[in-house]
Amino acid sequence: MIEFSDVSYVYGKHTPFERVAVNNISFKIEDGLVTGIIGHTGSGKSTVAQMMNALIAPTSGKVLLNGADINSSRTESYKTRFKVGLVFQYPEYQLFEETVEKDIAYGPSNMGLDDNGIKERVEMAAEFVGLSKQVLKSSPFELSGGQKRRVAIAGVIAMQPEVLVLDEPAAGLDPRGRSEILGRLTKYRKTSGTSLVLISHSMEDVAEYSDRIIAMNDGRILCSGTPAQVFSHHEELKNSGLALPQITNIMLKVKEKCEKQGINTDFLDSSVFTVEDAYNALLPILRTSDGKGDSYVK
Amino acid sequence: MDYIIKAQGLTFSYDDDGNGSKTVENLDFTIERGSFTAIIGHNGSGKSTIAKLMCGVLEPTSGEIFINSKGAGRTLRVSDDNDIFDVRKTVGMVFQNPDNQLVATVVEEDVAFAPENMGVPSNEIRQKVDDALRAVGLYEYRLHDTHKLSGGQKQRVAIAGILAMSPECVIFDESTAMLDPRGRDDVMRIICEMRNKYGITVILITHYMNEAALADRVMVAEAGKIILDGTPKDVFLQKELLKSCGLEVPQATELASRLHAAGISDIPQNVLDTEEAAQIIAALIAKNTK
Amino acid sequence: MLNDITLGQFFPGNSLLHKLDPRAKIIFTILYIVIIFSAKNPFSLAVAAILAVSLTALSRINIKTILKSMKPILFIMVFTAVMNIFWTPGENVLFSFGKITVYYEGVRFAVMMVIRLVLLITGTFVILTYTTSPVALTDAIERLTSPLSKIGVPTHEFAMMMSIALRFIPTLIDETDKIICAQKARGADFETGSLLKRAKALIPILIPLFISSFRRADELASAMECRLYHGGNGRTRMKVLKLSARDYMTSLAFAATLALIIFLNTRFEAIL
Repeated sequence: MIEFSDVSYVYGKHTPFERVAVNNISFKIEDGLVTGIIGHTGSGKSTVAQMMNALIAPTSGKVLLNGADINSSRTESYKTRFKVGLVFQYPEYQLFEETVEKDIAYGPSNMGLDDNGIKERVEMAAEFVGLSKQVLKSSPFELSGGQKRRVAIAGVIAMQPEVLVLDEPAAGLDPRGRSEILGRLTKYRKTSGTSLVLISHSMEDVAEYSDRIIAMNDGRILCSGTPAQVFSHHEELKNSGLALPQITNIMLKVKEKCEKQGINTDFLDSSVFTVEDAYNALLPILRTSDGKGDSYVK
Repeated sequence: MDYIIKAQGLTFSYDDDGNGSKTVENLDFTIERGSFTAIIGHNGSGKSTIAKLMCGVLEPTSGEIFINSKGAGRTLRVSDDNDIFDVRKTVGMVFQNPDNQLVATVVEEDVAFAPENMGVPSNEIRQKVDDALRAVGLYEYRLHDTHKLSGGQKQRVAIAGILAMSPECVIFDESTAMLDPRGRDDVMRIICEMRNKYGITVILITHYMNEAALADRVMVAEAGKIILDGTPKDVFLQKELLKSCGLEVPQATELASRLHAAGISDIPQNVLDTEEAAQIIAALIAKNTK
Repeated sequence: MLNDITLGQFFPGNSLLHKLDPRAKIIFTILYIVIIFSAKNPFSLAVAAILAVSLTALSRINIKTILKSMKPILFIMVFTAVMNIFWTPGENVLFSFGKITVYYEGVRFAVMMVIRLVLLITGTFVILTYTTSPVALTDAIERLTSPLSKIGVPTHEFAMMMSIALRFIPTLIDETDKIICAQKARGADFETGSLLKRAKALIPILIPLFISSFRRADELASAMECRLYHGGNGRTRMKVLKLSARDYMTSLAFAATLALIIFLNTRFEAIL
């Protein structure tokens, strides 16, 4: 479990360019769940990501992994890199080895594993992200954008971290590539028990895949909780420039329009945020018009 | 119809001998002047290649693209080396990565780049640059360092840089893909304004279905061919076909079509945006309660 | 961390120095260097210092920024100072321990040398790099060297290459920063081990950086073509360079300073 306790981060402290990126925040990333962190550019979410694996140390406050301060010593910080895997935005631009296999092996070999251990982990990681044996032998630079992205993610998965943090894992991909990557990641989470942290500004993705959501604005936490709890704060989210998931928007608008006509809308749950939920919520109400089923609206 | 771009038998292959796999194969299409067309397709479907052919970054292996240029006062051929300068003047292109298309360190100097290359007299350049920067809402930023702007702002500078050469058509090659929602909204608003206010023909390459829904025509590229071509409402009716091409429909459309399929026939399958969906659903609920 | 580099950065502004003709500024910079090196005694150095201080004030550049830009050359300054303190022979012994004797002359020489270095950096940065946009600067170089294009020297191309390099330096610094972080997240260790090990650790940074630079270059070339770039022929500029009263006034000030320094040099004993 990762715990942030009164954490702040200031860039360029004591210089004219001083800027507070993270302002005294506290939260927990619970084991075995998918936690989504949302916020627009400059909200501090990427800084939070880099503090999770001790790439940067908070200027004040503590980051704890399973109760231990990850910044207590240099060795501790270094060890944390392997326990909390961090995948950056557009990770395909970090590939450098001659073959996909060697590139995925870079992390495990830095852990000091023997050749067999490395090989095992590379194969395991490649399977999770869906890379064939043939691809493993080819050069990463010959692959398509989506495949490169998967190689880069495999490179972090191969370190078998306890927590996997991903900054915009689906950015720039087409719809199929997006659902493929996100689908594989949730499957990986289920099989391996690794906790996932998804950092994104796509409300739809975060809403669909997360168990918990932390919404950030201006270096602070705006609200957090289950997706339903977070999206019920729609006014705050909107005011801080965060778009709601499209479906939530539709439901809110329906509610508003109905209320204008004096229709009681308690039956409408406005914290609905996926197509599936909206379908299930709306179908029984709408069915009545065809005379099928009972009217839910009295 | 007053066309601006006409492709005939357009074929392109990255292999020089022309026998290899074709990225774009035997396309015929016409883009109407003043229209807003979206080209969608998954990565590798050939949509970006089509865009690069239309503005003369790539040269067709066979076939031809005709550009009906008002500025040049005649019809230009993309594969003709004597026409290429006028082609680029008529059809501008905004690329995906904002960082890789800005040439200068200062905003206004970057916007001035194209008119400078055109040999526009100095005092007129100033005017063009100021107008272009006002059109994208960055006039106050004219002396800023391009490097210090946000992604969305950089992309708006890039758009201003194209507007400054007064093109008749602008192609956006996945220009919103690397932006955050706020930057994307800003850029989309400017794209719509360009068409509505200045009458510039817009071609938008994207894989965001919500953006394609704003166009008046959607073309779907798959394996180098155009497999669907029509209004967004018509195209998004083909949900299954789109899914088989690795695409999707906007969530509002998805919801409406699922409700329609479940027997709620009062809801059309091809609802495009949240407002429309909400309106129809609310009206139906109101009907039921009465 | 790499963002702290301020050396060679342009700060947009509207001061007198910003408004000077960049061609004139190149000439002033050369003149300024001549002035600094002509100042050979405390009095003439003081005159040069007054010039540097007034230029800094006129540029309205934050003094902190200037101090920060000294950081990279701090080592050179300390080194020169130490060398001069210990190795300058003289007559008036200040103190000595063992074989090392420090003379008053040595300290005096070292102090003046450091002042000279500081003035050199401050002045050239304030006149040229901080107040001149890279585009204006390359533009000026292009025009000053344009007579050379008649004998086949590609002056426009050189200037364009230079301005693009300047434009991409911050972008590539950011990129390097990102790649370093990403490889560190995979356990890369740049801080411990032998020199060879550390050099090897750089490979995962350099390769992605090169690949990305080529990709950027490729896209930039397309973007420039789309924006009608076709070399220097028939190209006009938005900002026409024209010498104005400001430039003549400033050159007068520089000439006066130089004359004063030369006069002072004849009156006082040279130390530097």
